[in-house]
Amino acid sequence: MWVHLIFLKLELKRACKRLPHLYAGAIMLFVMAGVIALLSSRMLYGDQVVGRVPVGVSVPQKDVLARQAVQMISSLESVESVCDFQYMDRETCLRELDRGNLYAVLDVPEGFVEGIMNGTNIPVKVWLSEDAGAEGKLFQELADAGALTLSASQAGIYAGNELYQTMGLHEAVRQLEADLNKKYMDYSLGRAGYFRHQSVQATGDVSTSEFYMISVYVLFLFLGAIPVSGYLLPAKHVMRRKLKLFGIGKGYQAAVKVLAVGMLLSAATLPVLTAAVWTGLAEGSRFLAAAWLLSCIGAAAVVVLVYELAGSLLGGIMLLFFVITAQHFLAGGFLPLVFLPASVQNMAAWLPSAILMDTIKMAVTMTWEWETVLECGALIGGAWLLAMLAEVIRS
Amino acid sequence: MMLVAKDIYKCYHRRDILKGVDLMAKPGECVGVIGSNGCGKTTLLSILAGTVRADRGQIQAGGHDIRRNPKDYARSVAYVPQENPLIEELTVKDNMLLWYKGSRKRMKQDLEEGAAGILGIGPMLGRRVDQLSGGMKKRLSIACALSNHAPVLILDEPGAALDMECKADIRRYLIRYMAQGGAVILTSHETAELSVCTRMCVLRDGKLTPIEKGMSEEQLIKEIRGDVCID
Repeated sequence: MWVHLIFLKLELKRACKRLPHLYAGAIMLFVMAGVIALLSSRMLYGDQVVGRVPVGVSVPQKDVLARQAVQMISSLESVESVCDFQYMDRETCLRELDRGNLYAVLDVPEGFVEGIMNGTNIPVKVWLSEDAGAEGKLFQELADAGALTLSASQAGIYAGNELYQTMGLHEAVRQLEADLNKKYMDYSLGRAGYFRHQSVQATGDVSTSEFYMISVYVLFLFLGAIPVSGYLLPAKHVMRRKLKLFGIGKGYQAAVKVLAVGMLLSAATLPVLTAAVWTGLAEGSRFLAAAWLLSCIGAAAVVVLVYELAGSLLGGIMLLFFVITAQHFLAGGFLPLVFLPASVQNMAAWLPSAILMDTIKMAVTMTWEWETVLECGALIGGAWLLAMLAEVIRS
Repeated sequence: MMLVAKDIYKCYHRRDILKGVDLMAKPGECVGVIGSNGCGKTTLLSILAGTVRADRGQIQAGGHDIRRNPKDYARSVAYVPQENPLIEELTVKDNMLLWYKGSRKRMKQDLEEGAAGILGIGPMLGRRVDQLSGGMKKRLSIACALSNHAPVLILDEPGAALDMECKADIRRYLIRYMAQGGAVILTSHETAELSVCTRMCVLRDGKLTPIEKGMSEEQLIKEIRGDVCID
């Protein structure tokens, strides 16, 4: 028993000597992650980052009805909350679109409203900027939704029209269309309040920003071990065999290594967590403490397994990077799971990143889920067993 | 204590490395095992030290079969493998503490009058192992191996890559160890190192054959190759 404690103490001491490497690596990793986030946000939003979507509208000067219709559309809540309609002539609209000052242009044709009334439906041309990014896509979605609403209302009017024609009420058709137009608008606007607004997050119980903070934290836990690869290298066979003679078996050696790496990862993430609590980003609680410790040990177990499987320094680094990045993607760490195929979603629950992200979510949502804790325990136990097995196979 | 190995067999990847090896090392005796590269010397020593399991055969220390209990091995045999079993990032003192199972008292005693003291470990206690020379590491490995005061010392090419002075120091220590009643089994490719041996054996085709002591290098080469010795 005494020799076990001595071995544990010496391994922890040995691991502590790697702390400067770990902190240096952590700083590098954060700088890299920052640069990647900055570049991807630039790619997504183009050069300008704006909250609202400026849209140019070109309406024929003499067409008062078309102008009124566009004004009505622009006053709808869903449009008004996102878009700023700017009225100008067609050439100016397209020039501003080219310059990147507008994300989209609505080119309303002559006789637009009459077309809706008589069913000829002269289309509105929508011009989108090639570099519009997320804002342009948002406007496109709004325009498509508007077209869909319009087609549904027209279908209702045409159905009434046809019914009257079949019943021989030819003279009443005009009045019916006028009445349906008015009543459709009255009811569609009036009944909107009866439908509850329910926001559904692709990221589940946490907000998008919380989701990505958790994802980055878990990825950092795994990749943060790269600077301490020297410590993670499997011990020499002769050393392992001599230790076994002293009663320190493969299982204990692997368990001590998991503990030591877990301690290193805890030390690396402690300043980040402290800063998060201090700035109010996270709430200091027993959930946070438990989730933090569990996630560090869980990540350590996986990292130890990867290096045992690789058996060499370079192999370990390569395997850790590629395996962790791939499984993090499949676990929905980069894109939330709802955007991934169903087969990936089914598999994701068993991946280490998904288990550790669920563990951290407990701290964010302040709920204790035994199922998640057991999954994390199984991850630690499974990785430890496989690490031992890998050593047996290699030797 | 006498170490006796009887009828040892070992097979690796369907290749028979040891085919019924018998070996005995009495107190005060040094048995030298020679053989060509890859003939199974390290395998034989690893089996005697308990770090590798034999497919068949018996190993007795002081009349007891020690194969089934690792603790018996640890008590009876001190093993110094070719590769030093040391934790490079830690200090000499930390490494010694591990093999002394945390007993500072026993370690201090040995540093004053035991193997560690004779091998000159005292002055380098605070140094990190990765800053030591090959000779210093080998001395430390021997001192760590002898932390259990085992009556049998097994060394696998102890002088490999060491300077003349260090080899001489190790030879002097072995002579002293034997004089105190210890039994030594060692392998080497160097005649000077084998000069401390009281008995010699050659491992060839999986069998251990006794040979005469004090042979010249040429004669030893012939024995290793299996050529007929005219003299």
